[in-house]
Amino acid sequence: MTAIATGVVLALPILIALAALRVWSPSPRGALEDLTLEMSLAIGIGLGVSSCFYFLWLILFGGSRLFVLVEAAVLAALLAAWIRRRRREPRPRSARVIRIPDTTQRGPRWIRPLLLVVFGLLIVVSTATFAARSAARPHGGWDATTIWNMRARFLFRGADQWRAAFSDQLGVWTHTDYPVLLPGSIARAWTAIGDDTTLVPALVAALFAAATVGLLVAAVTRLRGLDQGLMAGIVLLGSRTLARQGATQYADIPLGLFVLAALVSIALWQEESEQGPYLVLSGLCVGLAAWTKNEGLLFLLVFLLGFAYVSLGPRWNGPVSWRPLRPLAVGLLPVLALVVGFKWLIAPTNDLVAAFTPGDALRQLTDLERYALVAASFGMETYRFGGWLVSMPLVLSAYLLIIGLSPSARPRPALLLGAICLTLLLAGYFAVFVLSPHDLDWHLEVSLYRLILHVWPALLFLLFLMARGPGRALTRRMPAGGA
Amino acid sequence: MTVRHALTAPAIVVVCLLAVVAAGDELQKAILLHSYDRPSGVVDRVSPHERRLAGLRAVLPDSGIVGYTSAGLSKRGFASLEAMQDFFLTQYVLAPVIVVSRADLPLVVGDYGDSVDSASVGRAPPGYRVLLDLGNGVVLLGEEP
Repeated sequence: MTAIATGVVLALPILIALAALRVWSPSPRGALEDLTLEMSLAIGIGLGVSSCFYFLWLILFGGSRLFVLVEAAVLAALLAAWIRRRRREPRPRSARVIRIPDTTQRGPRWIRPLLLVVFGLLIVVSTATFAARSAARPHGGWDATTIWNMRARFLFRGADQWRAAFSDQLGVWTHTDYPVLLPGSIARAWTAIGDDTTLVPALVAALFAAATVGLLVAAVTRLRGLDQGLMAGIVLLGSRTLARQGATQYADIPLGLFVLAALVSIALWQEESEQGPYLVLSGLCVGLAAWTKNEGLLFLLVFLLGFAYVSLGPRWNGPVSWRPLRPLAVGLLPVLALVVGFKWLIAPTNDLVAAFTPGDALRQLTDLERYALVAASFGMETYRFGGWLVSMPLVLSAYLLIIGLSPSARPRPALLLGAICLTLLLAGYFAVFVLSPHDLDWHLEVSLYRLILHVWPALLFLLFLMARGPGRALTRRMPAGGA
Repeated sequence: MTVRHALTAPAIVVVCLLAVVAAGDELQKAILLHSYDRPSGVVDRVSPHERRLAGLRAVLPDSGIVGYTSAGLSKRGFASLEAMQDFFLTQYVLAPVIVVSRADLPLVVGDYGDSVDSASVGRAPPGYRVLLDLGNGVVLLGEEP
């Protein structure tokens, strides 16, 4: 019974987001990759926005579970609007949508079955890994019990006394200043079903991990064809990160999803002739990243810098244009207002900020050994990342060298924006480590691996947008008219 | 046909193989982790701790602050990583009550471990008495009136 109630309660915000996407999308389509893309976005946005709504509800009405009725009413209204739209436009198609033909179909016959079988196998193996790890540690990893799930327990069990979740009495190790997306999602479901079952955080973690795979594969498929989408999914699922880290129930996979979703939305917005809700979605996902972890605030900053550079410069659409800022702000500002309100009025000071002194900062900034240590750790962690028999980054570099870059790698502004964002984000993490007031070895050991996870899905997205598709790469060496 | 062209198919197959091997190895580790924990409770420290402290949740108030003392906690801090983990697990179990690592509050949770006999468990600090002894090393101490 609890399992059914949990499923219904978690499905509700996802269905709301899906219905909203269907209502506001200018060109809803029926292809599998389009449905997967919408569903993946709906998981992240649905859970993220519902956690915002739940937190506001908690502030206004305490621990009442009536918010479920409001959510149900919103879903009913959106479904009615969607049905009305479908009746008006039986087969809506946007004439201006640019679709790249799936050139991989010209590749040898074995390539697609191979990729489908490997991808399917990895889905099964990763699901089993996630399930086994979740069964072994039903409460998640260490940070889940000291930070994320504990905060969710405070919100759910505390009800009207929810502010205790952010008490500075809880100490710096519980990071009470961290934003509320993950604990809010969990506490929302617990409140709705009236039970703090471990099933909820495990399912929330599974949904975020699944959405990350779904979004990466569907977005690359839509922009580069199915074979390329499957390759991206194979590398993501084969890199030991998703199932293992997902089962820890930490906020790093959700943050990675929102970073990916923000960049995917920008790319789709450009591919859709700068139409539709994708720019709003991008702003929303950037806001939700900031609502997930403090590192998301850094992503917000670098995204805005990159967006300003790309969109206001001559690289986007010719002349300088402020036009894209409006829909971006529509998605971003409501969530950003919540984040700012939370940080200003509720959250205590961050431990890194509290321990910051200009004297220490200057000493650390001029200590070259710290730079060397951080750089060495970044290099080593990157080299080992993925846990392959041979270094995965080296293998992927060789793969890219052999396969080659796509001659029509696009959308170029989105690729440029993505490259700027990910580079600046990693540079920001580097600076945070250099300035860290904690023992540097310890700080690097416990967090660097997870920080790389934030950029990993988005990095794969950019990589497989730039790389030549496998079918096409194989075709170029075949005789004309072959296979 | 260039070398690069000749390597394209092997490159795709190698990436697929490495991904499958890594994922398979990860699954094997996860299964070992799962089976390892069944008898010992080493991997999942939370569930046993939750069972040990279940009786406390029923008697503690719905909110407020309680102190915490344990065999692994002294004025200089936690004696070991395990002692610190036990403290945070106690906080996780007893939420939304706030647990602080001090023994000078009206209510104090004493966690002396499973192996401690009841005589030493009953040894409350000066000025405190045992309000509740769960019989498994966990006691609730209260200030003497």
